[in-house]
Amino acid sequence: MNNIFHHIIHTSGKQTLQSLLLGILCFSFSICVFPIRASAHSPSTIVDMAGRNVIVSGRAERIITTFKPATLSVLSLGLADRLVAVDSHSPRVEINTAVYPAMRDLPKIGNRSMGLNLETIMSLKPDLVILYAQKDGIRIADRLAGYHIPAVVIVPENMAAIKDTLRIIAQAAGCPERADRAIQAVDHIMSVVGTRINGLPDQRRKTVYYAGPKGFFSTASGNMLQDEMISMAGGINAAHAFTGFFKSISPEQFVQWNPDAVLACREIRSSAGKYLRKPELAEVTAIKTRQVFCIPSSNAPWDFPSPLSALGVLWAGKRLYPDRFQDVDLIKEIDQFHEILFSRSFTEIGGRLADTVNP
Amino acid sequence: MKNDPVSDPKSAVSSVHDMRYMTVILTILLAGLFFVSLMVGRLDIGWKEIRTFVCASLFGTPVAPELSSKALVFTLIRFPRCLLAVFVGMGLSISGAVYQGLFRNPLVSPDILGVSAGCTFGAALGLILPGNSFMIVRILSFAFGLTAVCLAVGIARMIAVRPILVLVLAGLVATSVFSALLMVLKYMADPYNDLPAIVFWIMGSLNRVEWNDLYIIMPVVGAGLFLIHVLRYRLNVLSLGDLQARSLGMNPTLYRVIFIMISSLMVAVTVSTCGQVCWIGLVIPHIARTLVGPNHSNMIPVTMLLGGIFLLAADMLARSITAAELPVSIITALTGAPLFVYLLYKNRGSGWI
Amino acid sequence: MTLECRSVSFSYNGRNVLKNISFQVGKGIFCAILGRNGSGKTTLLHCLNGILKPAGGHILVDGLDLGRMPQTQIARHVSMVPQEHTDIFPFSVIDFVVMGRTPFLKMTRSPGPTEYRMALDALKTLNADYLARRNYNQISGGERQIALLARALLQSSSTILLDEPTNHLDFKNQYRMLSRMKGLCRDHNTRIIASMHDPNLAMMFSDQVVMLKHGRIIAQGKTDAVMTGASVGELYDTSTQKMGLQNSVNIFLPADIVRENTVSKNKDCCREPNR
Repeated sequence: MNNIFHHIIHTSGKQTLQSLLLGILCFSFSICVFPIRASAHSPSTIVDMAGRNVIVSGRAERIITTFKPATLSVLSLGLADRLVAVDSHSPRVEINTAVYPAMRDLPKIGNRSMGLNLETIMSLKPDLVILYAQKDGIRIADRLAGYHIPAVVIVPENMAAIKDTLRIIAQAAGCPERADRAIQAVDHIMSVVGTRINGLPDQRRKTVYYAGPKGFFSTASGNMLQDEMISMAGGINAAHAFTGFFKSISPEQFVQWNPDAVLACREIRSSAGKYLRKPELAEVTAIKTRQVFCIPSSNAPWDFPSPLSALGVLWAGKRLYPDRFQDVDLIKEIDQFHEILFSRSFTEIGGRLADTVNP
Repeated sequence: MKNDPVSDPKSAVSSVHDMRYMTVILTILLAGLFFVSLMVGRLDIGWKEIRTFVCASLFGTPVAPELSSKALVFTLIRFPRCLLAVFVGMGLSISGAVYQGLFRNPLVSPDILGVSAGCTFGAALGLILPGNSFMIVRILSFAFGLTAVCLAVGIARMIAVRPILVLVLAGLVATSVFSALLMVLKYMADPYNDLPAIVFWIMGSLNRVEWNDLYIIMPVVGAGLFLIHVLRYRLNVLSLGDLQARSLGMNPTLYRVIFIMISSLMVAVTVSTCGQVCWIGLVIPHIARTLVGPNHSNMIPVTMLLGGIFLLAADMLARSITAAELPVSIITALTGAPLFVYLLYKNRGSGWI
Repeated sequence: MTLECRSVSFSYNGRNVLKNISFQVGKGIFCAILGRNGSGKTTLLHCLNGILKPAGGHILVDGLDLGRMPQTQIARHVSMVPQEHTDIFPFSVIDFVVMGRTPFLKMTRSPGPTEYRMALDALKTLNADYLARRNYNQISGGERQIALLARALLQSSSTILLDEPTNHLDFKNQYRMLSRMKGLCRDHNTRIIASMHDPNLAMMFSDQVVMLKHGRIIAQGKTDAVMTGASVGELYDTSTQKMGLQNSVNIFLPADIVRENTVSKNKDCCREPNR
């Protein structure tokens, strides 16, 4: 018995290995000849912000978002209850869970930094997936389109693009009127600001330095959202001449610019204070006059791309030119804005401006 | 043990036969693990469902509508990914074994001639160029991976003495050149779009696989595995050094070129598809040697199977542990490094560490 | 059938390492190649097994011109026991010895049971089959030499070259190794060509001797006839005396140096300490 076994193993060991490999190869080649098709697709086509033509079903009931701006946009349109999954970073943004507590229990599909889990996405049978343009976002969008899952790519880089984002998502979800409502609210805020800084002569515009997010001496260049927000609020970004993304500067450059005000990104709020005490910066106007603020709010960053950026502009206007915005009740406007977008006011969901920087 | 006369040639040879058992066991283990991996993931797919999907693909029998998304996941995502894990694991581990044999050094990994550095640079170049063609990234990655190897081999041939040592040094040069060029690209890259894409690509993950990738990887890696398998005995002779190899009638340069070419092709095609998967090329050959000894006739098939098993298991973990996809290199490094230390410790008396 | 060198010369980096080497070695003969370090012994051996190509002249093994044969074919006729003793992968000795069949294997073939049987036989010939399953890196220098010899025997039983085979061996193993080599000549008609650095061992074991100095042959022929005090003295540049011992064994001693040192032995050393 032993000998027979020995003999079989001896002669067929190698053959077993080779035929198993061959078997796997044949099996896999044959499988790929007949891909399985998903369910039928529907009529309307929209163009997303990466220029892709996306075929969407009439009404999206199962939405998946893959990065924070997408989630916040969906919430701003009041479509939170249509979400079936989000990225793993979104529930960490306070406003998201304050507005839609059930988000914590939704399945997570990965995130932009580490990668998305395609299996989870597809198993949830979404009818709209909202993706980013960087890294492999467009590639995944194309793949999902190949599997007949509508996938739109959004690029919310400036105020106009933020509005486009709202329009595209609302259209893809089959409720364009919601975008109109949200955009109207944004436009209202922008006009509140616009009317009050109208006629502000150039020489009276304040120079503003945006500090962050990588440190006090990193700032936003001229083609970024933060620069746009500052100029909409009537200020001039000290780093306006820079191009590109966030840039690092030297302390000498900061002193040379001598900004009238400093708006610090929330991420450096705790460390910004120590720069108020530094002797080498003491002569800078913003520091001398204590015009150093932290951008609101406690539950969402108003300086990063989202409809709330409009509130960031309003707040900045109020801080930079308090005399011109005397009649504006900041909290009331903010509460109203939140009511329109999220059906609950800012104060109701526990939001605070928290815009002071303590030395 | 010291003085027992080995009178029966079969028992002297029987070590070869023992290793056949090991090969069969590992093959069964690989096949079993493969079927398990088809069922494991964020989405549970049962054995019956798999049968349904396979029949649907082969014979066109319809799939119940509530299973249709699972069917899609299975045929378009899960199955190719498991297959890729097996092929990449086999390819990388065998390349590591070949390089360790060629360079007569157990600390060598397939990156030694600069393939990975070249591939990474090529991919970064492709990601920076305008346009969204992902084929460009693949092609450039592959091309520059091979360029790095040719550079290393070219430098070594130019210097032409002490071939092994010079190859290692030339590989260092090639790696440094392409790493430096990569740094230049990173510096010039748009930090919002391109730079994160480059960093993301380098991390290495099997989750980007599509069937198109497998159409290239399966034949290239399959052919490479087959060729190295039939030529594996020559690695024994090569590992004795050029002088003895020549005395035994072998042309060491020719075989070195053949082996380097085959391995580099396999590694380049792998890295250009999945990014860098580390530690497999270094650790798996050691495990194989610990199990069946250093004779390449036994050790090469075992390396191949172990590589497939290891990466398949690592990928299973990477895609099911957390909601976020872990890059598989994290798992291979976290398990590979301690395993390597343990093996070095275990083998320290064998006379070759 | 003979191994014949006809006017072989070899240069390296412009230096003439071998000049006009001509000699013949018949089957079953143990031929020792003597010379100082750097006289070209190793180069000559490498020319004889085809690793180095001579710049001029011909080498014929059993009538075949080495210059016209591919390396694999040469390896089937001439095998070598090298000088180096570096560590390798921890192969077992039998796996190591079986590599002697490499020149006979097709490119894609691995050694099978037949080859292993032959390897075991080679070890048995040298009374060393107990080494078969041992780890090559863990056996002694003498045992490694035997494994190398077994491999060379397996590769070619007609001509074996050895490069300083007694270099790393202790007193007993030097003689054992040479005795095994001599045994191969006697029992298997193997032609052995070994470079040696000790004229006494050459005198004792070899049938034929080739004396190389600065790449030229200064004397060659039957050992008993060619090895005299004068020729050995000229080879090593020191005055040498040939002395006869019992059993017609002769040894060579560098007379002046020996006399100096035996006469002036320090008689006060190794005295027992006073109790």
